[in-house]
Amino acid sequence: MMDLALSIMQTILIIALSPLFAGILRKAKARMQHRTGNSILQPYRDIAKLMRKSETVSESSSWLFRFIPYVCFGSMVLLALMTPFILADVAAPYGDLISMVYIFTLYRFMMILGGLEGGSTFGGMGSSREMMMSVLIEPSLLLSLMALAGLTGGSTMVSDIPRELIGMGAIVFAPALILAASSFFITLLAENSRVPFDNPATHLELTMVHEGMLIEYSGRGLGLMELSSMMRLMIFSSLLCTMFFPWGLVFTPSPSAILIGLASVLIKILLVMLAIALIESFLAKYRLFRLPNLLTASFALSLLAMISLYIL
Amino acid sequence: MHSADDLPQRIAECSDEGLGLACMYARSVPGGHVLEAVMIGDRVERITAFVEGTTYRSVTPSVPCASIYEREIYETYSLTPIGHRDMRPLRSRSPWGLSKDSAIPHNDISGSGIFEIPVGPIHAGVIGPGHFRFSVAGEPILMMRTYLGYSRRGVERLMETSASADNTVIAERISGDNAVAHALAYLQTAEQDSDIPERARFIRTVLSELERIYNHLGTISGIALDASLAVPAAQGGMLRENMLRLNEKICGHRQLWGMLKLGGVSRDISKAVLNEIEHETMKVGFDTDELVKLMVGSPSFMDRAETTGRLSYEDALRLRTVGPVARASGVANDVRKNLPYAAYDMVAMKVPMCPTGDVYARLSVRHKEIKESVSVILQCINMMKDGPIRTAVRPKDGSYVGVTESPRGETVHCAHINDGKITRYKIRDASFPNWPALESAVLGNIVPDFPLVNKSFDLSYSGNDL
Repeated sequence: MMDLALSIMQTILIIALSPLFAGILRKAKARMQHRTGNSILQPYRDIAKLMRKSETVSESSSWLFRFIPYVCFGSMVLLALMTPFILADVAAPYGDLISMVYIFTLYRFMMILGGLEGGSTFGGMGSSREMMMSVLIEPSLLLSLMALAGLTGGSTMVSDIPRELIGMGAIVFAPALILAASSFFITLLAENSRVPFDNPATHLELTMVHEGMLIEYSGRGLGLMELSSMMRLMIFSSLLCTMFFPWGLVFTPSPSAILIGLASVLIKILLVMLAIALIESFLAKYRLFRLPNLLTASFALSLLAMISLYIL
Repeated sequence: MHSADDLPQRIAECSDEGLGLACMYARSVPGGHVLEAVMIGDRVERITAFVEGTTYRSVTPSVPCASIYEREIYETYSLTPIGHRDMRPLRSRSPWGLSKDSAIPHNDISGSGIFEIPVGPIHAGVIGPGHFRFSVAGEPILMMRTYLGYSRRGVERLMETSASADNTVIAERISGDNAVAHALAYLQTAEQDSDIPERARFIRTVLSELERIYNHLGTISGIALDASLAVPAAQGGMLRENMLRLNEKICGHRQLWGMLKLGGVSRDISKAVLNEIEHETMKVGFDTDELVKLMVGSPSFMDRAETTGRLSYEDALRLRTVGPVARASGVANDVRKNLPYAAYDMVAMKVPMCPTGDVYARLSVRHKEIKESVSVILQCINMMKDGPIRTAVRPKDGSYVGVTESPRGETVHCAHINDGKITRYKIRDASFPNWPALESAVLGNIVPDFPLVNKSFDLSYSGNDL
């Protein structure tokens, strides 16, 4: 019972901290460009403001349009319940990595429908580009997780993998782990519409992918979509930090262990955010038709990870 | 006066001598209209023809760049060119164009899987209003058409009805970031052959090059921003801001407004400020080198910039594009060299060129032009001697053409003065002939690359719409 309460608290922590990390990411980018930047609390204010505003809905859209933000937010809450953050024991332990991948896909599918629902040009363009990318993201994402599962003995349960990895000690710095983690990091950038796949800060409607799909949303719908996409980045980073580099994760809760666990996961996620900020500052957005090459590279890395399991 | 029947032939003959059709416009005279064609190359030639009815033989079939001018004449004077096949509205939303509720025509292209994307006039960023129609098959662009005119203010008419003898103030507001070039073109039509004091001519040259530097820095930074290259974009913005602050120190206005005046300049530049200009421009020259090195050193940026938005030499020549856009496609055309004004006949300068015509070519031409501008400014400051900065000028009657090189390219002003009053004033901003070139440069590129190509052209909405 105690464990369940702790697990639910960690879920709430994931949801509550995701705008903070989005703010830190923006701040880090601003500092790297010699700008002062907004306060790191700005995403909270933005979301609070959007939640208070009334919605404007396109005449050509159906009930689905208003329904989608709730599905997206719901699927992210479900994922937050399944993601180990401080504790290895999660509130919804019946999920494994493969079901998580498909909940992400459900989220993306709903967002694509939302882009089409509004009936605007840019929504349609964003949706078709997202569809193209999602076809390429899925295999490399799955394969990198498979390589990880292969390394740790075959289970894809989120609570088994970290335990196995820590149990393996120092040998885990095997090529397979590094390769799979690199591949996962590339898919993280692609899934979360970061540079070089998409530019979350762009003002050019013709180049938008993720923002294009959200272009018809306003008020609470937009607030929920924005919050969901911040949570998606948070969950992805947490998965990278706890599945591939689980050191610090708490298996048997005690007050001191939880404190150490919290500190370690926050530092790890901060490092991921800084890495993203660095990439966004020093890389131009790729040409749309160059992106499959990058995702193919990610797929090749996972494939190498897989092969190295059997060769080494 | 010649009849309009042999106008196409006379323009074609003039083109054979190496002159290009820089501007064509109509004006009302008793009993009909007069068509005026301004041919510019190493000299300025004016061709006039009288039109009695409401039709004349189109020049476009023999000289393609006449197309936009004939469409403009049709919209303002209802003169129909016979034999012109593309009479789409030019300034569709201006009081002279289509009425507000009539629809913008669909692109003249069809087939299965071809979609039309309407974009604008309201955009997601803070940019000028323009409507674009893309016909795409998937992502590649098969056809693109621009419909402008949303920021039409009727500046030509304002010049004609102005009660003041000095209309520099209006000229500076034609296209705010090309204020000096437009004002200088106006002053050429007003000052005619008067002798302007040497110090004023040097100051005018310095101002016009300062304007070029801050405009080009804005474009370079914009190109970086549109390719999502955040750090160089911020760096370029910083350099531009420094130049704007320098401008403010010189004349109290960040975009150099209010400095030019009929007969000279409105205020002198002190020795101390001249030293500061010298210091700041030299610094900006080196800083721009660093900035461009940062951009060119990024493989992901070069991948976006090279081969994107290629404007061929033939198209650049056929549409008679001007300015850095033309020079990046290998067309050597610079008013400062061909028809020196202000003090350009006294300074040495090169005209940077690039043959490839892509986004990178336009970037590097602008980069080299900044270096040339710095050298011109330093030469001017060195040669500058103390002396008067203004002289009294009385405009004489007649027809005059003023040509200057704005940061965007050749800028043409034509004035017809009668009894000391302007009876017809024609302005042709450098963006006007370059907009159709954009339509041809984007062909075969993908939709998400359009903003980058558009930024590298750096076209003005207000200068085009007038």
